[in-house]
Amino acid sequence: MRLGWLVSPALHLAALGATLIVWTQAPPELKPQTNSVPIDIVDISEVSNVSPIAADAEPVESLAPESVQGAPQELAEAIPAPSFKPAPEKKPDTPKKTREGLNLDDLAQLLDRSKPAGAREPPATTGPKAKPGERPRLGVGAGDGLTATEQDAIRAQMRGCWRMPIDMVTPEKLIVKVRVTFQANGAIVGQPEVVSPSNFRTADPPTRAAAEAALRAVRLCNPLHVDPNRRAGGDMTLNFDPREMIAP
Amino acid sequence: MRFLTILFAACAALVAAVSPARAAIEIDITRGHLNPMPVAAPDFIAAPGADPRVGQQISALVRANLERSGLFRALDQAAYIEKVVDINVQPRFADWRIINAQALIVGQTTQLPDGRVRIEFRLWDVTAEQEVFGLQYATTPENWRRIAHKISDAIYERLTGEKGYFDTRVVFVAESGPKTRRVKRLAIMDQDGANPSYLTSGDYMVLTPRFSPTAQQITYMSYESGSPRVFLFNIETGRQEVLGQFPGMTFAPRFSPDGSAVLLTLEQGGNSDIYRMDLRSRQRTRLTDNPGIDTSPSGSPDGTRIVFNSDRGGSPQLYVMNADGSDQKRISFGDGRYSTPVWSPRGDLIAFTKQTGGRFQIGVMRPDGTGERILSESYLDEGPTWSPNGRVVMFFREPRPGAGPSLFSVDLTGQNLRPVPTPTQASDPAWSPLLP
Repeated sequence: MRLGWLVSPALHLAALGATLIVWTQAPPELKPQTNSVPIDIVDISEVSNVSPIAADAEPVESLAPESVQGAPQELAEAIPAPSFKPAPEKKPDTPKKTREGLNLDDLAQLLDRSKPAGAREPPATTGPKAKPGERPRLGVGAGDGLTATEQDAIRAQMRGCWRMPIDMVTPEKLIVKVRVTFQANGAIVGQPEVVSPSNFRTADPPTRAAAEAALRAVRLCNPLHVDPNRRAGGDMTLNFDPREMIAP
Repeated sequence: MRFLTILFAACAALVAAVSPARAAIEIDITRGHLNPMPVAAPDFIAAPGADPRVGQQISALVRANLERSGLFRALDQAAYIEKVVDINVQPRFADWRIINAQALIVGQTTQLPDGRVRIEFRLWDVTAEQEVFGLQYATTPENWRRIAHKISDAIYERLTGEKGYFDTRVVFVAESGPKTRRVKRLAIMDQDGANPSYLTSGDYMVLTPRFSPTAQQITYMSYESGSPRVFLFNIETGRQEVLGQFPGMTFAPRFSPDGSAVLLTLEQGGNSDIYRMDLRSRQRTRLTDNPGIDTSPSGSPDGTRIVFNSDRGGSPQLYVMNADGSDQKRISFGDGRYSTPVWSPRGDLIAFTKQTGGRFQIGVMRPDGTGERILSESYLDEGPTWSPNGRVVMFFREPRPGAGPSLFSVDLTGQNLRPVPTPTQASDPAWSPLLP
């Protein structure tokens, strides 16, 4: 018993002392300093969702707008007029040239020098193009999204097509979201759809006019300026938001 | 069971997380343009037996109205590819897209057995390839201008979302004669200058006519009784009366937004203050009481506030107060002298005359005084009046000394300045509300 009284403190002291023992660490081995590693800064959009670059990229012809127009919608019957006859067959001859070379885009360019390429123009070659000597490479991702470059191109394209409602009384309330489905060549499939405000056809006149102006912009900018070498189309929502342009 | 539900939800979340982000792309379109919309409006078709000139005149006036608004551009008829021969046939949209038309207006006139003419039109959205709406009217042939204005208003409202202003009139001061024996008569005409006629004889001077916002009634200042007095004039009956018996001079009248009262300035003992005169009870209420000159009151469309002009701070500036005269605050702080403020019928802006650097400007600012913009400037630009939709300001201009005044209109962008034709020199325009 007495021995136990002696052994116990001794063991406790030994255990305590053991905690004070430190193994000497070897100094970290210093590596010789090297120069910084050269890196390439790559547009993330190319990695996230791209179409492969083709070695022989050819400009894609724009689709004629009529090829993607949907059937006329239900006609408003404000006049109790006879039903429509089918439109006369269009003559196959080429349309005659308008007088004075009427081209709204040219005029708009004069009115607004910041206006970029808009409708009725071939899609911009917005994506990366194959340069001489560059090898084709595989794209990464599904290819149905839009690169940042393509999004910028569509924004620039819409500047020439969208008549902003900033001269209305409360333009900050006239924000319109339009959903479109597009093909790989940028042509819009079917009719663009106003997703917000969803009830625009029965809304107050300014809201309805703003929504129709957004729809008009999308139709005027058809086909969309996407990378001509895209592999797939996709869906997107365009938020027409005039708040940035409202004078302070 | 509960475990299975949780497992299923977790799987669904995992699948959603790894699925390609289809339909998730959102692009913010924050910049556009303000260019006018190109519109095609071929001459209205004349049905067999109808006078083709009526349809041609109507479509020409619709094109002119839309063009003058600055929001539309009427395409040259010579550029049209399709010749519309029947308004009940769907147009060939491709032909109109080629010339960049975004809207197409087709119409037809038909002679009715009772001597009247039926005028019908359809508005087509060329980009959507669908009819927007259509209307028809029956009227006597000589009434074609009113119908053309009504068609213009309907199209304008449908495409812009705001009421039109074409079927309106303007009352103004018609000026003639030499400076020493100037004759100033009240005159009235359509907003585009058509159908001018005189309302007063010219035996006495008239100034500052103002239209009632709710009726075919005018208030103005006249020297008919020797000293300046505010008068009321009913356009439909021709009846004219002095507004109240005031002890001093009364001037700068303007109807309240609901047309039930007239705001005016009364000068007594060298001090000018603003009063409100109820048109039914003829009771007057004093709204300002200040040793400075308080004048040119104009009410906000909701009737809660009044903007006016006062020199109480040393130079003429704009002030806003509540409709009962309380809470008077200065809102103009720019260089120059501000006068003739007019509250927009939309309520969002106040138009004014500004004198600075020896020249006169027409400008607009928000009711709190921010966002001042100058719309026009010349040797003398003065007396703004709003179109009933608050999109256009009409005023009078004397481009150089001795040139004589004439009327001009300018839209809110300041880019669409246009002369308004008048038979004589003209000043002090006042725009009517939309005609019934």
